[in-house]
Amino acid sequence: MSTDATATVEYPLQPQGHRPGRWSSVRAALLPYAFVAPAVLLVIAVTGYGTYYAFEYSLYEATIAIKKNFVGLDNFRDIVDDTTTRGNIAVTFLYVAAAVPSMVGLGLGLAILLNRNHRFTGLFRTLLIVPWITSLVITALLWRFVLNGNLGPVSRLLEIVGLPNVQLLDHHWAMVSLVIASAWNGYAFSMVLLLASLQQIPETVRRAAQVDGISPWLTFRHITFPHLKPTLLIVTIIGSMHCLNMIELPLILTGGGPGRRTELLPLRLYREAFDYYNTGLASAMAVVVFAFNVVLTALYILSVRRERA
Amino acid sequence: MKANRIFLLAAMLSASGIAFAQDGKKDAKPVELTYWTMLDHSSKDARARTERAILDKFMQENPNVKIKVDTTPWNKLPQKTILAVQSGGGPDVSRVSFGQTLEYVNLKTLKPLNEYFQGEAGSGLLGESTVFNGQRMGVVYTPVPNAILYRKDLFAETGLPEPRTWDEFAKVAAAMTKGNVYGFGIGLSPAKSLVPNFIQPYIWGAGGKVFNEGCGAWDNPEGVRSVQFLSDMINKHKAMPSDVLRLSNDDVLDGFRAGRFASVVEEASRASTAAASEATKGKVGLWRFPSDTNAKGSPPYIYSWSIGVTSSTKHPEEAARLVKFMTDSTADHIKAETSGELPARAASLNGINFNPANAEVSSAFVRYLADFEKSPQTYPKNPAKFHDLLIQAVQQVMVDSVPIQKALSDSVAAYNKAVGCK
Repeated sequence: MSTDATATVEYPLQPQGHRPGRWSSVRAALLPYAFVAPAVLLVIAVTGYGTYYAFEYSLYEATIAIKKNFVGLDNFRDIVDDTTTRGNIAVTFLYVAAAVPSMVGLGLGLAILLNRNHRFTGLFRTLLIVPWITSLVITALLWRFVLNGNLGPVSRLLEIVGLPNVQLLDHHWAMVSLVIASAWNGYAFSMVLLLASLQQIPETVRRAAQVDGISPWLTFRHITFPHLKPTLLIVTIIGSMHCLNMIELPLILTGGGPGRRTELLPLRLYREAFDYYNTGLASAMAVVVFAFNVVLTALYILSVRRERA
Repeated sequence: MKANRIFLLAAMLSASGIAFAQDGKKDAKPVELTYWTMLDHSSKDARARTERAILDKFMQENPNVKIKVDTTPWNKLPQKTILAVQSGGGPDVSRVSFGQTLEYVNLKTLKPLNEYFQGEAGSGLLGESTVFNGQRMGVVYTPVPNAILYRKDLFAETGLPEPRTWDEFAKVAAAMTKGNVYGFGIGLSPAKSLVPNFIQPYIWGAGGKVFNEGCGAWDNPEGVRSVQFLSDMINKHKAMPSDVLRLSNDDVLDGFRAGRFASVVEEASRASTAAASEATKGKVGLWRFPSDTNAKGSPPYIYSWSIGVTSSTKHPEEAARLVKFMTDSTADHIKAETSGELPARAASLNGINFNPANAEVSSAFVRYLADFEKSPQTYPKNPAKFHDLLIQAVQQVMVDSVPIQKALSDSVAAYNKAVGCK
């Protein structure tokens, strides 16, 4: 077999008569976008319309989604002027600041524990996901019973061990109770993502650290934690959004009380919209909550970029 | 051939006969009415069974009218109805809750019914709440007054007479407080509370006003005394536990059913539930809200469910006929016998037989209503806001030790600002 003969045999990688040109490369570049376009369009149609709707109604005096008068920025002025709403905003940030670290921290701790191979690891992984699949309404009802100062198991336990009864939903403890219930409901999401991330760390890297005699803390700090950072960012962003938009837990667990101590801004928004039918003010509050979500997410992303730089 | 001709003639005659017969019964043209309610007719709920029975009876008496029932949760019903009617659709007839009636009216969701309810048909209604500026926007289906439900056995143990004044009531409640049982309970939680249903009768009974020409006015001396009374029941008389601040009215009702509270503020519609537990069966009585000035007590707060015809209906005649039927004497008797709901009309009271399970309490509610036919109750411009602000004022007093006068005045100012009062 001569070399010339072999040189004449060309495997037809491209269809006969088709020459790879600029159009083909453009098409190849656009193809992935075409695949995701239907989903993206659907999301935009669903969320985009709602967002536009909220922005539009925030500029009107409106009742039950029926516009009455154009009032410009008056609804936003009312939010700023009203001490109750300012209180709602302060309570919301306090809640987010306490609940997000609690659920992410708890999720991280459990993910580290579950990353070790034990006999019952599979069982624990399954059981620990239960809060995640429990609806917020059920979570609230469950914790309302658990924390009931007269009939709940916590008060019974305190009674059995001879400790004074603590009303866990009173004005001293209501926010703490709300944070505990949120952390219980939200940790599993962080745990699952962080566990997946932990399992991607090559075993050889950890072994090498072990062989070099590096302490578990330093291993965590210099190997595990840097690897988990992107996932931690994601769970923190999603956790923050989850908490910033929280209505069900305070509504059912505490009703926003005692006083307005656990009345988060989304709960107030819900009441303005669906109890008082004040759609204009409620829409303005929704825009404010949306802005908080955007700002908080931007801050997280910026902080990570700065870290990388 | 001849046979064919005869058959053809007979067919033509019968066809023309049918046509004439239909012509003669123009109003018997089949009509389908859509009815929106918060009750699920497929459930075993007594009120749902009652409503189903009334609608069936109506269809039996009006064979040309078919009723299509659509169930929506009570808290979604107003919004759904208003939006549907605004877009030209929605039901022909709908349940209308007291709390949202003004929104229905302001947004022109309901059709005025004056032409259909003139003279006797529109008078003698118990708990009337559907006439706005002389326009009848619906008819009360059942009035839901509030009163104090109490345990007759625990009260008998005190040996005290039935309380007529607020002081007497406080004494009785304190005397009924023993061990784990508290003499009085009312949920003060922002989640769900009947506080406004208690404070309003207190103010009216003392001669004060809750609203003055539509604007909030409950920060008067009578209002201050009403909140002071609640505070005293916890701190001075020890007849009410401090955890009522976190309890909703549902929690308190559960407490009453479990034997934790000897008396509670409740709505007539939940009296049968209150009396249906092991601890309360056959032991529940009714006290009117006491008054220091009136031997008949303080006027009750009345929440009511009405039936309205929507402005988008294509069949106003039939819809009005249905409303009339659902609120007339026949329907009142079905309500009383099936679910123990109170009648819409005072005229229905003659010979009415309440469901034996709660006949005593239902009858007491009816007498209470009848004694206050002219209620001082006025329709708030924003009922939900009023509720929320009043509950928050009580919470501020109890939780943050804000002076009562300040808390009430702040709530009145906030309400008046929200509804556009100066």
